[in-house]
Amino acid sequence: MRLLSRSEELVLLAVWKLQEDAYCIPIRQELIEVTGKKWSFGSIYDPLDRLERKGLLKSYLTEPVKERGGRSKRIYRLTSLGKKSLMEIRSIQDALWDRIPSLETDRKKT
Amino acid sequence: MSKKNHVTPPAFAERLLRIIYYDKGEFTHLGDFEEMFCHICENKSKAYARYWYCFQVLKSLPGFIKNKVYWSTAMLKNYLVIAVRNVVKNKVFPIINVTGLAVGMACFLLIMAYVQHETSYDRFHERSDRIFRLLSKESVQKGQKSVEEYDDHFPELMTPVFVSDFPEVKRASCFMDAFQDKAVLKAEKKLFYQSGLYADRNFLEIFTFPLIHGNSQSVLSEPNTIVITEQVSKKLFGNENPIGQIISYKERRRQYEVVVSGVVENTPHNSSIKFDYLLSLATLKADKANSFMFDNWNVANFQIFVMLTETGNKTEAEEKLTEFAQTRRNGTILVLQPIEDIHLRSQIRGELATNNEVRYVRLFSFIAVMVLLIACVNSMNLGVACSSKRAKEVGVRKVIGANRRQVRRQFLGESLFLSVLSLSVALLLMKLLLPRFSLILGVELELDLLNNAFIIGVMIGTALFVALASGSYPALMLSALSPVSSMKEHSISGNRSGRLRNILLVFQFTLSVILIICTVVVFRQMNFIKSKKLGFDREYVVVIPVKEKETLDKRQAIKTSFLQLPQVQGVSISSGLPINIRSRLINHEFVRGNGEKVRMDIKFDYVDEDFVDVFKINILQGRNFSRQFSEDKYGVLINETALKKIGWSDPVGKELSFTRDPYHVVGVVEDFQFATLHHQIEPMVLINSMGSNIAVRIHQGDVPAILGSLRRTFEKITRSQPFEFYFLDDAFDKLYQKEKRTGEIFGTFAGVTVLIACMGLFGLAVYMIDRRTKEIGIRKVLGASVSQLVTMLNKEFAGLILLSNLIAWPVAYIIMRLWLQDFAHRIHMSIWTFVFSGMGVLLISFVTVIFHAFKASSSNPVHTLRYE
Repeated sequence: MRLLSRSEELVLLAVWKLQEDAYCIPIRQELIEVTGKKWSFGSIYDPLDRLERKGLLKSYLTEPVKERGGRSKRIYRLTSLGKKSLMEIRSIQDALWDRIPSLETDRKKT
Repeated sequence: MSKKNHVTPPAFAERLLRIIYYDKGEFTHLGDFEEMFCHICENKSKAYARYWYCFQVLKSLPGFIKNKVYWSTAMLKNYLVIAVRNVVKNKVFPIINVTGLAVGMACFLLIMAYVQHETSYDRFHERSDRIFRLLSKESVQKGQKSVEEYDDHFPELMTPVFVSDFPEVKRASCFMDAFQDKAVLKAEKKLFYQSGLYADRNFLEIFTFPLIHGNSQSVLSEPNTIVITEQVSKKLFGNENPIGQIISYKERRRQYEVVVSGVVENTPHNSSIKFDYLLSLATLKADKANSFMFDNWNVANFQIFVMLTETGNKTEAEEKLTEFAQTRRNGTILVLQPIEDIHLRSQIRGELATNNEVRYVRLFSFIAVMVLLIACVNSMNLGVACSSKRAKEVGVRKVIGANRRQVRRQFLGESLFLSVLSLSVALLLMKLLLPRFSLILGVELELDLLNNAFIIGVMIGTALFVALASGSYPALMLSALSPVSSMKEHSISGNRSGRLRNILLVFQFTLSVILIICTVVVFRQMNFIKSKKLGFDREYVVVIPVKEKETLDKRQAIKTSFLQLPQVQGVSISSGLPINIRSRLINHEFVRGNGEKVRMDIKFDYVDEDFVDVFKINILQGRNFSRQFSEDKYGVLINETALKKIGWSDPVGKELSFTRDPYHVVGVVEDFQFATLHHQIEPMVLINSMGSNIAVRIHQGDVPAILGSLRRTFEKITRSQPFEFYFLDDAFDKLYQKEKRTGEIFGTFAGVTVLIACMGLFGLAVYMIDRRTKEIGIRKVLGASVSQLVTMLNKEFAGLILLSNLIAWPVAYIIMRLWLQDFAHRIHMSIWTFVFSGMGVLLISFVTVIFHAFKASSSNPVHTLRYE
């Protein structure tokens, strides 16, 4: 299977973390908090759309909400494929980290 | 967040966002943004939230536009390449397509130019919507029906009353058209015939005829002043300033020395009111001899135009004016006719300028639309035929990932490209054909495209319409196919497109046949008119109308000296000519042999004793007038119809009382056609007297030389009128100009439609035969002869064309019966007209198809079988 991009991976993780509240704004909030960087709306929508098309996410609409101007939220959930690919990435990364010496020592040298 | 202080983001930004993030129409993104907006609102300020929202939206705009543009042009290059390759590969189809469309469009545009010209009449006046012509309405009993007749002549005394007594009327102007006679304008030994009007001082204030020299309020107020057009000024005075120059003005009854007080621009060609000069009405008023026109409520010589105020209501004004008119003469109803209606919607005897009829304009527009429709159908047909070859291309495109919209756009784009190309060719054609077309129609049409929003609109509209009409079928059909079915061969050439093609073909040929039949009938009727025995001889007669008083006094001398010329057979002076006797005695009483009295209308004409000889009219009973009998001074000749209607058994010597003088019948002439063939021959009486038309019958021979000697003789006797003449048969032909024009138009467009239809047929034939190349090869191998194959290929089209004939015949019959009803003397439409027209079309289509069919059938089967 194809590897995910970093932003896709992060978004996917955020969706998994937020569970029932996984729509654009909390996802963005979460990512901003964790990474400490600016995330625009577009940089969330794009990975979400892509992941949905790849079948790693699925979405449904909630009841209309008043403070959203009477519009629904689009809530995302991980599919089994999504969970599988997250786990796969995790294992690949773990394997990679295991094969290299600790970075701390490296930094001291330079 | 309470409901009360719920703030919404800026509306325009939201709308923009709605376009940018379509999101399957659910707009959850919008919700995200709004939620964030509210959040910022609460934590920071409202203004900042607004700023943030707008900034977010605007930030995404450039990317959005870039994407849009990129994706919509990504395939453009490919489309262009494919379009060019298709044109190069097929050659025949695109050429036929473009030519057919271009010819059709050129015709359409030509007619539109004409229609636009006809409907633009009198709209150039600044306040044309408020200018009205005064008419009086009268119901007249005509046979069984009561017909409304309108008259446009009124006494001059009315005009000032209108302005003073009716608040609705802002201005009123009256003028007289000098009885449509031409007058002689003479300055510094140059003299010309010109026609003009006697106009009062308000004339130039109501109508917009811009003055080059002079002041519009004062130029026509003084007696003995004249305003001339630029053209006349050029003729009489060259490039000098004509203001203050003296012109001597002469017409049949009047003669004045006048001063030029103004120069006006030439009257536009789309004006109902046309003139070369305006003589101030004050000139006539100052002349005692004319006082009868100005102090009498019963002398109605003037046309009156009024301009209503901004608030003036037409119907209210009509009512008030009628009320006023009733006090003068009971039963008079006054009507205000908008000036814009004069050209197309008015039929009054003795109009100012030759009028057209709305129905002719409508007929032409109808033909224009038909021709355009045929061209579109043609293009559509070829488009369908061509595009079915491209089903595979669409299949491949779809497999690669094109969606339906893209395929549709590609095909529509291609047909738009073709139609724009055709349009440019059409414009070129129109430019070339316009002079000839103007000639046929007898109007000066101009092709001033840049200043003509209407034509530009029509052209762009036409191009789009054609592109849509001819591109929509392939675009919709092909784009709807699934890739699999479009890859399988023949799937598209199934029944549906075939049937549509046949319907379109039948439609085209039906229209062509109808137009051909109409043309043939019109031409046959015209020939019939030309060859119809009229009862008089119109060839070799020169007519010299006398238009001026001095010449009128000398007419007898002119006649005598003309008779001395060897080339002259005879000379007659009469008021009417045999082609147009119009004067009528209404409800005259005749006494029959048994004392019974009959009343009827009768036409009359003043003629001298040579009239019958000059026009070679047969005398049936009695004799012609003669100078030898003094009692012939009160002699009349009646025609056969009059004799029959009155019912005298022995007419010669019967008394008639037209005036106090005792007229009596001298003889009976054979009926001759003195009005157009639209009318039956009416009772008529020829009264022994003289008129103002000198008719000269000349011997056959060197006509210019004869005319030269006539001129010299004429000028020896009188110099106060230029020698102007016309031939009687030319005047006769002019009476049927409208019919001739209709015939020529029908002929032209019938030719065009047949041409377009045949081009379409040729294209189809090429396509169909190409499809059957293999079949032809196999048939040949199995022993079919060339002639058998050609017949087989022709049969398919022949059936369709026969069907079109069957539809076209009754339609054409009905149309032409309506047209012929206008003529009192008309041809019978024989079945052969229809058969021959139909056969003609069939033959032309055979020739079209046979060429390619023969080529295909005579080729070597080895090649045809290896085809593809």
